Amino acid sequence: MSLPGELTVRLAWDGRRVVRVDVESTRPLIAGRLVAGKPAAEAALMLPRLYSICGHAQNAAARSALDAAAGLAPAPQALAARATAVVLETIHEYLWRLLIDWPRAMGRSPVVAAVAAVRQRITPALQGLAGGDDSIAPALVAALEALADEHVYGEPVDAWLNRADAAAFDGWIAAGTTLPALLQRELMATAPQLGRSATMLMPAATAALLQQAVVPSLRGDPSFARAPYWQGMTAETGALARTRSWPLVAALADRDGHTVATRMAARLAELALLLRQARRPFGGDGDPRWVEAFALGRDEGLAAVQTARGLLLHRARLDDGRVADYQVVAPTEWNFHPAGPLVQGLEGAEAPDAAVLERHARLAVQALDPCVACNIEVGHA
Amino acid sequence: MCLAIPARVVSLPEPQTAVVDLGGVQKRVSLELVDDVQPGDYVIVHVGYALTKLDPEEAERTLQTFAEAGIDVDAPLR
Repeated sequence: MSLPGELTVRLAWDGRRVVRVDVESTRPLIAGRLVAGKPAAEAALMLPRLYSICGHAQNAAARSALDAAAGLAPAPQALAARATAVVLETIHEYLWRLLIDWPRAMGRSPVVAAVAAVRQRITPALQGLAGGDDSIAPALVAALEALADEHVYGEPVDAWLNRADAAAFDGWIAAGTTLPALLQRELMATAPQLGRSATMLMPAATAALLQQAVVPSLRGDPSFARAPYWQGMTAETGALARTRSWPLVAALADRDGHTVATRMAARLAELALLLRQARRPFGGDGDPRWVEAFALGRDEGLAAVQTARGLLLHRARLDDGRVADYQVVAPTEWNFHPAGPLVQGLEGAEAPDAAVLERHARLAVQALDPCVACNIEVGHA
Repeated sequence: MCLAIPARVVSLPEPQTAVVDLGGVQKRVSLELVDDVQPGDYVIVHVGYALTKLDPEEAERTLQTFAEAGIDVDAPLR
């Protein structure tokens, strides 16, 4: 029996290598059904309540898509609050991945207390942003940074960000003073090529590119929300796609490819970049666009939000102020696409026994970070 | 994406651990990230951890929202 919204990854293994990978999803696409016919303001309140782990990103996406559809231009403060909430939520998600999920997937004890401390601090700040604040307290940022220095990087975030090439990163791994450094070392020692895929990394989702690469199929192809593609091709979204130009990530991708280890390194790099960015207010001209929204035509709007897991799309079409059509495309749909990076990364993977294969598959899934629970089944081909 | 379906806490078999009921399916979850959870409370669960405690009205409202969307959590799920 499976609950709504779980993934199952089935691996056919011939005793030596994986010969086939299937991904099955029971995620119900309920957003459209739920808000159809509702006034826009009511839909904006309902949508974020549906999702447990990226509620603030969903909130930013819903409000931005509905504003754009209604032809409204939100105040700069409201936009800053949305972007700040999305970034804060991403920091929280990354600490969770790095300190709880990743160690668990590698058979080590997670650092739950540190994540609990982060939640205690971030939750009220996120509530404040939802309730009218447009920035976060410098003390919160300093506390998050101190926590990351201690548990993730083992050195100040700025010092870690100065590690600009593979050798500097290897030095950090070798010293292994924190749990993530240790896990990275184990990963490089035991499965350096695990999860390697050649799937295209999604380009930065600017309004102009989205119009061209995504909007026609989003509007015209009913299966798009379950199996999306970028100009006809599958694409990987998330930390690795966003940080590919950062010198360290570029160097590791160049040396090792798009592997589990490179994806973990990209997550480490993006967390450090976000903590650095959070020291000053959001919304400057040079800042990455975490929330992008624009009108697609009369009564129709699209929002593209960069979440911890990657690109989240909301498209809204209104009719006389009520929702006529609503679509949500989650980042998981890109990364766990039947021909996407997870499937590509596991096809052909070698493993001496089924237990090792299952553990490796768990790590490959973890590196692409689905927003739902994922079952892994190994069968003999 | 992860649906925020409220899960009812059935029992607390050991410290920091709860058994929750989600549409007739019972699961063990960690309580390390939430405070003061009692049997009968509703929590939001994500991969092995209870994330948030909901007050009863909020839980009721959310369950109703899901029922409206065709997900009846009180009935056992397929």
